Amino acid sequence: MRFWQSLQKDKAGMLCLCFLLAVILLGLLAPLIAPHDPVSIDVRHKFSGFSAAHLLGTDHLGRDILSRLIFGIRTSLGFSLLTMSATVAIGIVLGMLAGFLHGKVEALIMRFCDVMMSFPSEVMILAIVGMLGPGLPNVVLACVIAKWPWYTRMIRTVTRQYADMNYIRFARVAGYSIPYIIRKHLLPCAAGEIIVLASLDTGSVLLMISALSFLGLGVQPPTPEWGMMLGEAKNIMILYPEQMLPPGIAILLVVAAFNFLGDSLRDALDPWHHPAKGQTL
Amino acid sequence: MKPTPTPLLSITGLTISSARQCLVSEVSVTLHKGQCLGIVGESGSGKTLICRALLGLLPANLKASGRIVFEQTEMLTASLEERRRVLGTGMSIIMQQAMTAFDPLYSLGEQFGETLQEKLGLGREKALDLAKESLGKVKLPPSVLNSYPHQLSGGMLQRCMIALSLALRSRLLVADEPTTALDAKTQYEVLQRFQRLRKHDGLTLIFVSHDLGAVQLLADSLLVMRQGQCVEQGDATTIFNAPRHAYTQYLVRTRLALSQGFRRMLGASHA
Amino acid sequence: MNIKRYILRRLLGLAPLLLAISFFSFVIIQLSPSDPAEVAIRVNAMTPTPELIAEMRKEMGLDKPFFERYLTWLGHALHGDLGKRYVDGKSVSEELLKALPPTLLLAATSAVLMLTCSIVAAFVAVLFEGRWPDLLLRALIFLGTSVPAFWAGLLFIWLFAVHLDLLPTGGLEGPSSLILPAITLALPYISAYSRLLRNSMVKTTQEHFVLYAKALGRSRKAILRHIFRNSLQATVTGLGMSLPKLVAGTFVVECIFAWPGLGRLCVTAIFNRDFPVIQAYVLLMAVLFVVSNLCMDICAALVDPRLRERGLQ
Repeated sequence: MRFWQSLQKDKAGMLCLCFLLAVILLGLLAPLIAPHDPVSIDVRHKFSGFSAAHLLGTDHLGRDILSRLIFGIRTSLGFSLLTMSATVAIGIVLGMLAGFLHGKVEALIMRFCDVMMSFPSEVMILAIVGMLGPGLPNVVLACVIAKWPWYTRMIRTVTRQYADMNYIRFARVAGYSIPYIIRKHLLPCAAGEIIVLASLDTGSVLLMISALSFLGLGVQPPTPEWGMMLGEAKNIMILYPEQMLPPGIAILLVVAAFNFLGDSLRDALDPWHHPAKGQTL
Repeated sequence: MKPTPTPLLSITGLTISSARQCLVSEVSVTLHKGQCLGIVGESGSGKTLICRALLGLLPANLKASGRIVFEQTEMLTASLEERRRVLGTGMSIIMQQAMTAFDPLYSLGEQFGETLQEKLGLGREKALDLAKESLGKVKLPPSVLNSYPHQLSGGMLQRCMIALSLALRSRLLVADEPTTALDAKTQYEVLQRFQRLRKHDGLTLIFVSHDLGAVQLLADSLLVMRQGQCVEQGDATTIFNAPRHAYTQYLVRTRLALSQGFRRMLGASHA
Repeated sequence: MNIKRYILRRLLGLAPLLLAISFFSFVIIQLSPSDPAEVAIRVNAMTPTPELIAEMRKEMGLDKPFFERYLTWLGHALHGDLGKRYVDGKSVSEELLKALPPTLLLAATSAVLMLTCSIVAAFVAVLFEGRWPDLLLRALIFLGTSVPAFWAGLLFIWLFAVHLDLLPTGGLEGPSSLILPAITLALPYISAYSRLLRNSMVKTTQEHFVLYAKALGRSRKAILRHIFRNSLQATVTGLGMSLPKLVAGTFVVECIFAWPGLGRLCVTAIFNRDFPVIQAYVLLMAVLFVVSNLCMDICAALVDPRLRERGLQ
């Protein structure tokens, strides 16, 4: 696959991909790797600095910060990925439906998308969390609801673009079923664009989930989550400012990796996206 | 047409290359005042690159070597400031892509006005008067100045570019494929216009085209390009009557076959 | 002038959209799994007995059919009455109006900051393309898109307010308390915008009319002006999209800096399950969003003669 080959040439992009895969693996293997129980409270050893026993120290309840970070992957990154998968799945189904079935179904779906997109996604998410109440499942649901119209619209555009191409028309005339055509021809075509957008968006969903958890609207204690860890660190900022660093840096690195990967993927997908170097003025 | 002793433009050993390959190699040509040089060749033969090298506007990844001397200015080594002084008033171009050659957000009046004010140091009123006058020379009404580029046709915009060069009193006009995007009738009008301008205004012209018929009508001397190489050059009449290189022979032959109808329309006997 | 007809036409198109928005804001609270009457009783620290709930439902008009309730609500909303807060019975519209100016002040400051920084950054990028100022800026921009705003805000507080004691940690007590929240809020947008503007300018640099202007020997300043205006064109629409996003995105920053604005009002309301406030917030934001989109479209039409004509066809 040409797409994959040109990505392989992009060293920084591959580095990001490897880093993210390593983080995901770390999250999956958290119980084996984490040195301590992320929720066990040990008040005698609270705020201990960096040491061999606690590599990144302990928090205000004496919990090991490194272990909480590692388990935090499961909530922060895990739920971001879950959110994106759900969003993309809904987007593919509705987008392909709209793209393939012209007429009323398409008009209905697209009108609804337009109305949904006329709200800023932040307001949409606040509204839904406000309606359902704080909590991680509600935040995930809110993010999915706020994001699906964008994917639906994009996938419809891609579908329309390809559905009119001769080989797809030929496949339809030749009597292949629509699900078969979608699986065999349309999904591979749309995959590139979906992956680019999804990789850029995973970063922003992670930011949204951790921001809401930071405010106390998302993950509820004692489940470790990076944004919530920052929220806890905020209360003791004056005495122990270093407590803000591990979760903040973790979020920064993962989001940066997703953004960079998204850019690399876009370049791999569309080498002409970046305008050629022109003359200087 | 008697050539004057010092040429207006002389190109010596012009070579243009990218990091990987040589795109134009060792082109040398001289052009005297009032003459017309035709550059012919298929697309990708390096015609447009030569034009851009003349103006010093090659893309940054291409390198040019050799010498281009316009009047007293060494175009390849001149500073940005020196080049700017020559461009427009000394040498100007008719772009191939007429539809996109003007800024879509400004009316042509604004663009003519500011260009003439800047290049000739005129006041606003004078600049607009001059613009109207030179638009008249290419048979465009003054109302064109109130329109935006998207409201005009490609042919009209091309005439606007010619008018701008006339207003700037450019001593050398480089026309890069001016007839390519046009239908046969408009092509004919454009060629006639260039002919008239040469006769009345003593315009020195470099006419680039892949259409031999069009070049034949205008050019005194000819440069035939193929894959970056100059395959034949010299007096236009001589080349047309007795092409030496196989490629030129092929071009002349096919042109004769293709342009019967065209010549009938021109109704002119040519040399 | 055609522009007046264009504006009028767009204003007429606004009405159905506003109606849809009001309907959505109303429905979203009706979909809540918890009974508003029960919530209203609980927040006032009373035990919700069935009789009390029934009484409350009647008082809140919840026993009436759905559309009647919507129309009543809409009618009140049009008169500026958005109901009363469950917590203390204060008028929601009054509280919103009190919280609106600080939020707008914050968003406006950020917008100005964002615009100036983005324009400067884009110019640096185009003038120094590929050289170190461009590369440095690109790295900073990249960092800016990835850094969580709330984390940056905390670091700012620690550095400038706690450690150096230069600026207040939060609240609204004068111009100096505006600095940190405004920077924190603008940070991700500066990145996004300078990137957008930069790409757009680099792309415009390749346009034929720029080449032609260069071939005419026009000055660098004149050419830059043309490039800038053409690039801005593409960016203006995006700006219209993000101004209300800026207002909507204030909620995190407002909570960090204890800023007495709309976002914090809404977050507090979410904790208290104070539905009328959430509803009013959603309605206000959506209206703001739609109106600002309209303004931006009009601006774009003013700048670009082609859009003006298309809008009228």
